[in-house]
Amino acid sequence: MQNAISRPKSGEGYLLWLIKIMSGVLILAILIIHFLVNHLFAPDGLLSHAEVVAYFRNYPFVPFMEGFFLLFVVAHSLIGTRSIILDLHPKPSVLRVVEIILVIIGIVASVYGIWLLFAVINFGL
Amino acid sequence: MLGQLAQGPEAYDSFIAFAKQPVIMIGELLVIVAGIYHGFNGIRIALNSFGVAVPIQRQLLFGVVGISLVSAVVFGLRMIATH
Repeated sequence: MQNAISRPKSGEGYLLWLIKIMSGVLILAILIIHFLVNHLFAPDGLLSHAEVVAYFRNYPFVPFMEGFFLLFVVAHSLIGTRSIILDLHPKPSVLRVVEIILVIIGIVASVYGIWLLFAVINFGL
Repeated sequence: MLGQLAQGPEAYDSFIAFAKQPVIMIGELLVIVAGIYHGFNGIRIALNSFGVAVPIQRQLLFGVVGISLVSAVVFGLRMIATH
């Protein structure tokens, strides 16, 4: 860490900083797979509805991958949003309210996204 | 997108038809390139954070910009070809 140029900013903490970095790397890895399968290898540049459902059902790791992708994106974006808000030097009470709102958004987005994922997998069954 | 998929083929197809409008496609390309730049630049910053490749961070930045520009061309051409 001697030559490090980027560290957690004041109020961020190493755990959130590490989650932000690790989720970002994992998002990029899954995003590359997503682009290759859904856009580059797909015949018309996009999978049809039936092809997406089949892709989810035929490869059991895919729903897991997409589910974790969703969770990583939610976590990364909300921690990033908090990080930007920290740059504005909010009062501790304001930051606390913002944190509660971000956690609620994160939980709702994650639960709704996972529910949609199951809806797609079970479509037509 | 998951929401459209969950609603069925009709909702998905109408969304795809909407997304194939030129203005939407340009916006989509900008989002893709921004995402690629953000991702690779994030890796550069993460490496630097752990003290890795700090002396060559300038070259890494040029690499990130290069990857983003090449990706813009590749995805742009692909989008035009499949439009």
